[in-house]
Amino acid sequence: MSAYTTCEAAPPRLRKIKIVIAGGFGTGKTTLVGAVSEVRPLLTEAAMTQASEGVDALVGVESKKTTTVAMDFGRITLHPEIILMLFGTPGQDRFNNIWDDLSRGAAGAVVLVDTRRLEDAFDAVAYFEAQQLPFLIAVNQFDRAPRYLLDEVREALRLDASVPVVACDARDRRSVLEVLKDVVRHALYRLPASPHTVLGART
Amino acid sequence: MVGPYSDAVIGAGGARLRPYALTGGRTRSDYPLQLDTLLAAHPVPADIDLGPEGERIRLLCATPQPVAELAFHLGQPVQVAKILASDLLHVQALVIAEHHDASHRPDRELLEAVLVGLHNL
Repeated sequence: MSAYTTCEAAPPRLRKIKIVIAGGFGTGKTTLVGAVSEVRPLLTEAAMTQASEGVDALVGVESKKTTTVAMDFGRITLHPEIILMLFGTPGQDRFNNIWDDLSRGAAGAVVLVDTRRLEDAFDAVAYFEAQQLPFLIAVNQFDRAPRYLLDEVREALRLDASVPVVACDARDRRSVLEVLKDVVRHALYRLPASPHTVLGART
Repeated sequence: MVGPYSDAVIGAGGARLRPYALTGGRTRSDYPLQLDTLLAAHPVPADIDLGPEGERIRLLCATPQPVAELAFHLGQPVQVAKILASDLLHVQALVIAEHHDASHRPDRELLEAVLVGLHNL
């Protein structure tokens, strides 16, 4: 057996932050994660195995249906002790319990939209509203959008006035980093006045 | 959407349970591990045999890794990685390397530190 010299007696204590990247198929989630991440994993997960936990204990393993889903994962090391993780939501099925796992403890979410298929964003918007997870809309486009387009998107998605709508180019690192900063700023803005009220809140 | 890795790992249709051979057929982990749970290797007595997968996980976690990356490097579905990692947590060959309870949203101090970190990239 080889010797390990990696850890001292006290385990490392890192801080992490998680941002969820949602949006319909083909909106550019994979591209966005890839533009900023240090790693490019694509994960597989058996959706129903998780969905069944604690819900249908009486159902036998043999009768469970498992659906294999794939999701993007990205990491940015912001500081030796702070790691930012990005999770692309799998597919469009927001009723999948993986969405709950991804959202739990997340700082916020990006809903990436393609203006030609705005309706694909409805499910994600409804989900994050229900979860009370701070989110913004990022309109993925190749060219700079006229201001009225962002307003049209806000109108079409019936967004609350507090939800930011920003333009981005998912291929461009700087542009994606701006979106991530916008999410974090929005999350800061949405923090309750007293930090103590956060601790008891169901996320 | 099905990615390139899922075909290799899961196979089509009937081969789905194959990865769970590594876990002795178990489909649940004993620890409430999340995709973003950070794991770090921890020294163990030399006479503990962790098996090849266990050794590999400990090597991967020489620098702390989230469960998500561990699964990717092992070429296994996330749930399989969680079960293998929980076995190592049991014998303290791995430890959870985090400050905060993952179920809580980040606080102001962390969000501000993240903003500075993003700005400095």
